[in-house]
Amino acid sequence: MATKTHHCAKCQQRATVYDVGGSKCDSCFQQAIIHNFKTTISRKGLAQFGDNVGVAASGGYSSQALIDLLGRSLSEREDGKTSRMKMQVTIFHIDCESPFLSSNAGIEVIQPLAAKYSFRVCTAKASHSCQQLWKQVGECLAWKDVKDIGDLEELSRIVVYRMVAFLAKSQGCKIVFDGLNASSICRNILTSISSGNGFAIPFEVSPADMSRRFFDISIHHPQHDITDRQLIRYVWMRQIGFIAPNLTLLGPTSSVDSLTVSFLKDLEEQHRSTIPNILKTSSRIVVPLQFSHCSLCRVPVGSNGKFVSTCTKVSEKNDNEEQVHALLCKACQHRQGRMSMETFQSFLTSLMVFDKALQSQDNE
Amino acid sequence: MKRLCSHCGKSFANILVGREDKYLCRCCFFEYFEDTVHRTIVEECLLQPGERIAIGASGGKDSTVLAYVLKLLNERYYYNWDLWLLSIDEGIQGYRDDSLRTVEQNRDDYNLPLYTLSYSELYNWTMDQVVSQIGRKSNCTFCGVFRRQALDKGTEKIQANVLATGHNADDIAETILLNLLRGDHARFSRSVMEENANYRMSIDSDSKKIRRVKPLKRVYEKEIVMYAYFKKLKYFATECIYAPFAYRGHAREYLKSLERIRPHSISDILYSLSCISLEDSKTRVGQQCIRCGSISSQNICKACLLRTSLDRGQGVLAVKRSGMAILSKNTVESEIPQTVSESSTESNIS
Repeated sequence: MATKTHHCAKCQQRATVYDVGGSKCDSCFQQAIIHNFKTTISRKGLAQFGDNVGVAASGGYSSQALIDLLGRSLSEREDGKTSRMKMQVTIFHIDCESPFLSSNAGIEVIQPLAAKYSFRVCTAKASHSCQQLWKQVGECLAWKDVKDIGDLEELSRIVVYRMVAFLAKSQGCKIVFDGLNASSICRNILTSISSGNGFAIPFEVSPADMSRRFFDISIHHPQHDITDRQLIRYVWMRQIGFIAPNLTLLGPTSSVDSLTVSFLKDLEEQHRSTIPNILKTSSRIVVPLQFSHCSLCRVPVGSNGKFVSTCTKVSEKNDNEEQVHALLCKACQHRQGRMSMETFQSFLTSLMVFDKALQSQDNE
Repeated sequence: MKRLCSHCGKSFANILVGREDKYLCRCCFFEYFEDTVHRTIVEECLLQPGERIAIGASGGKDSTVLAYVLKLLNERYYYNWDLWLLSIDEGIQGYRDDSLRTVEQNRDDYNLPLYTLSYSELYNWTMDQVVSQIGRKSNCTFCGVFRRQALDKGTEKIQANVLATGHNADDIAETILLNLLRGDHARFSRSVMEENANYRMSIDSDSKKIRRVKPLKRVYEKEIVMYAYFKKLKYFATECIYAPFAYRGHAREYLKSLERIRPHSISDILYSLSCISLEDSKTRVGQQCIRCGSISSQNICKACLLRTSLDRGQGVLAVKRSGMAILSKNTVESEIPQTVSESSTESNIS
């Protein structure tokens, strides 16, 4: 029985990728991804000509694809014309050890790719302040005290993003691109809804950072319209190295995040338009004009008493004893209930001190 | 190891209320459950004293518990509600005929009047006949639309002011997720607005809009099951034979897995809903269907369109978006000349 050969919808060559937009050959698929990437940056105003841009890279396939896409967008085009995009790019990598971060594997895959496009690489170990923060947080947070794997993942993420913001500030970058793609944005939307943080959804779904979570630093998501499946395919086609996720802790029901990821993957197999549907519906939610930030995770929180409760008094002992009130989102309130009060409070205190340092750096 | 009840501290606990991490004895659990329902009714002004209330009764655990609790609260607080059981027979053999027997048992046990309407009476179609025409996919679309209208008609027939349904917190959370996953923005925004009590529909003054309330909206499905079990209430516990293929199953599966990891997820989803505000969509103007007189946003209501599609043997078209547009256009075009000629005939006669 003869097998049917599919042809690329654009150039009629033999198709190798069967995507939502139609069959494509390798070359047209890559062009489509680059076009999508550049369009998101220009239409959403994520960066302007000549901007100093940082890239938060963990070494995973998403951030590796981001570096490669950015490099190709800024390089000379294949038809010999100069690229219209021009940016100074610095790659930030947090290489401190934790249950979720391995210090060496990420940098080994990032450096060759960065060198290919002449991007500078800046690591946390090279920054004294970041090392101090990590040491402080690591000492006060007894990781074995945190029994919920979802909390472990989230707390690591909270610290890593702050360190990226600090590194970006020290290098003079006001804009940072991270590797969040359409699938991970949908995962964040579902976990926000299920943890009581519905208020943050319009901020999660937007490719541009409207929440000003880290004061002057904006963390944008230029891969907003590209799914996991497309990125993995892209990375495989371009033969880009990446580090695989830590699977020992990521069973499908080990945490809310991993449950959501496996649910979305299964659903996408049966209903291909799931990811675009979620993004389309969520984008209709109005962005609130007035909001504050959770003191722990920096997620936007409603300023109306209905949405938020101030519930933690953290004492910060300087020369004068000072009482500091913290604002917590719903998810962090639950997190507080799952950890010991002492651990939670000391962790929160060190983060608030770090935020003060980041803010005072803004004012200088 | 036996624990003492967190509330009274005297008896041993039988039940864990997962979302509040409380261990309760039987009596305290009954009190907690009934109090939650009563607070929902009072705080959200769902029901007024002296009203005639139609309780959508399918014979399942939700409607059985709802009927029991409303009767209990009525006697306890002297609300003087006139409670009626309203049951819809979809015509599903091996499922609905058995559950109707349970509803009749409830009528006798709780001493409440019962009114039953069937699809065959209203639409000349049973669900078994519908499925034989369209197959097992998208049959919930027909059943849902028909049932909604049937409940409205039944409520009108018994002259009730309000229709109470047994939707619980799990159902509402599932609906939110379902509409989000399917990208159904219209239904998603309606469920957000209904939960935030902002839903307004412009209606004519003499329109017959039935008020719909969900007194069990803050109660978890597990709590309903435990309440029915400990109170030894009789209910019909089998899933609809056509349900396994519904899209809602995906949202339900996700929600159940989520609840196992974080028991408070369901109330967190409802809380998230209260934090969301949506773009101003056009206010839908309610008008009357030119065929059956039910409230509809179009000239002809969805139930009449679906029924027309079945009568013409085009049931499958009705569940496709492009098919619906064609069907709607053809039906409206064929209806309007008919109504114009009817009205001109009437004026000639007068």
